[in-house]
Amino acid sequence: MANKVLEVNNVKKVYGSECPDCLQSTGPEHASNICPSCGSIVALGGVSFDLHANECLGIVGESGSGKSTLVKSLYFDQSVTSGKAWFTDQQGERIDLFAQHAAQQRWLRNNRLGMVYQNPHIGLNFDFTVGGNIAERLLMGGSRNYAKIRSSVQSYLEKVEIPLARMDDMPADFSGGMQQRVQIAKALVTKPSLLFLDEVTTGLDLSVQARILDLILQLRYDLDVAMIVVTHDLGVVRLLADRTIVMKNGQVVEGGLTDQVLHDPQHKYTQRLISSEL
Amino acid sequence: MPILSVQNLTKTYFVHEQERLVSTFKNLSFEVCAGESVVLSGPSGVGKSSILNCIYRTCLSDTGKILFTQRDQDQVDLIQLPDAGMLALRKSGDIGFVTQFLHSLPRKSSLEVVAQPLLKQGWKKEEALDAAADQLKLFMLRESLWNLSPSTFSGGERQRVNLARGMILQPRLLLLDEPTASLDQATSVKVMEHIMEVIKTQKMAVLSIFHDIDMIENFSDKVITVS
Ligand SMILES: Nc1ncnc2c1ncn2[C@@H]1O[C@H](COP(=O)(O)OP(=O)(O)OP(=O)(O)O)[C@@H](O)[C@H]1O
Ligand SMILES: Nc1ncnc2c1ncn2[C@@H]1O[C@H](COP(=O)(O)OP(=O)(O)O)[C@@H](O)[C@H]1O
Ligand SMILES: [Mg+2]
Ligand SMILES: [Mg+2]
Ligand SMILES: [Zn+2]
Repeated sequence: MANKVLEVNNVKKVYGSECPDCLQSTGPEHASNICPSCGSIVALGGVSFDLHANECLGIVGESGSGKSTLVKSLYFDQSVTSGKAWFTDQQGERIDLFAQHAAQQRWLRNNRLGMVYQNPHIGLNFDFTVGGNIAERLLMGGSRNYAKIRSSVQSYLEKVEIPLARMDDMPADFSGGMQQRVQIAKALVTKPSLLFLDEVTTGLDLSVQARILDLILQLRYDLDVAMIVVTHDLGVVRLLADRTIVMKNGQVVEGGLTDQVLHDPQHKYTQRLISSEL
Repeated sequence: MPILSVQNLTKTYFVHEQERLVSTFKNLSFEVCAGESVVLSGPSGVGKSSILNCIYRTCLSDTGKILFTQRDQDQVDLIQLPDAGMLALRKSGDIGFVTQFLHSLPRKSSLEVVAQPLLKQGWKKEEALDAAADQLKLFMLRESLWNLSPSTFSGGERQRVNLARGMILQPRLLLLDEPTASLDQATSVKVMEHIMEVIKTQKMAVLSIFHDIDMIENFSDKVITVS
């Protein structure tokens, strides 16, 4: 059976001064992530899951359930309060993500992990050209061979179907769907073993969404990369994810093969989520 | 040894919103051997689709065993198998499932949809598309439709794309939920004749559901009545 790329164990994130009640008084059974005793926000109340090589895991749940907090923590955009996340890279090295110091975190972001944000203004530098954005990431990863960088940039722009003629344009001159495709190229150009996608199609036209989903599906077959897809759109996980976990109020309420979670949801909350959407 | 041995399988659904228990079959047992076409029959709502879903893990079983004989002749209980193991059996073409629904993207052509299981296994694109064309021919889909997306197709055309995709890996165990429901009588018969031929030559084990009595009579080696 495939190796594990990621093992996430009991990850917690509390905004505010944690009190002894925080974890027991929040979560799906309390229908809230705010601690009634101290008012802290328990964004993640002990989240655990695994991800295998080449697998795509979906994370669904309503707004505020902690999805973004979870992937941002794994990508070092923010810190956690406690818990462990073990990442195993292509070389088989097992890395304790939350024990890395800043320089190691930067190295992992530049060489092993990739992130595509809902908001292209976070994922792209709007002061650089589109080609420059992608090249910058290779430079940060330590590449200095300019001919090689140029050819990598071109090959990834091709993969995401951006005409090479537009390589020197600025991101602001691109449509929302194109900006997302540039973000995808930028995230993948370093050949990461793990890619995070946080609501990457939210707010786009349906036809533009379909094109991006189709592209991600294609890249899944072509590249050796495990993915975590965060979305509140069940159609997105149905299409992309092998397995899906469902989050509510900072906790995982259930998980399983995506078609099983959608067809035979066990938890009360998941049943409501699905019947309200289909 | 049978490819599939279902033992004392029970499935209930619980609908939280209405606090209602929906019971389907209880203590169901049957077997499907290589080269055999077994049909599930019984009134609507008795749980025929649920049986296929339990086997493919599109739903969870309560109790019982679903023993599947792997290529190396080892038996695994599909109920106990971890998700990753079930995914591997699906991807390798050990177990295939053709339902009445086909989820496809507007940008994917029929050829690409049918080739998808091969692409997932890492086949070269041209070879996968060639194999897909062969399948579409076998399922008699007009060639002028091959490069169009099934999202605009008629029910019967879509169903044939779906069958072609389900058959492309020639799964060792194939589950078919009303595979001919949207086809006219003549096409249904042709499609099933083709599938039966592959079952016999490739020694596939097939478990299906049909509503049409004639189809059950003509295309089953064994009928399991679910109650
Ligand atoms: N996800 C679900 N949640 C709750 N109940 C369900 C679910 N899926 C099926 N059921 C119920 O389980 C019972 C069996 O359904 P199933 O679809 O297996 O029947 P079937 O024998 O295939 O019927 P048909 O011949 O009409 O296709 C039905 O009462 C159905 O309403
Ligand atoms: N910087 C922050 N300070 C305080 N609370 C925050 C902060 N960021 C997120 N939260 C809270 O954490 C919870 C989870 O947020 P988030 O992970 O963004 O949810 P999702 O992505 O599932 O919509 C929410 O209640 C949110 O308001
Ligand atoms: Mg979010
Ligand atoms: Mg049915
Ligand atoms: Zn508290």
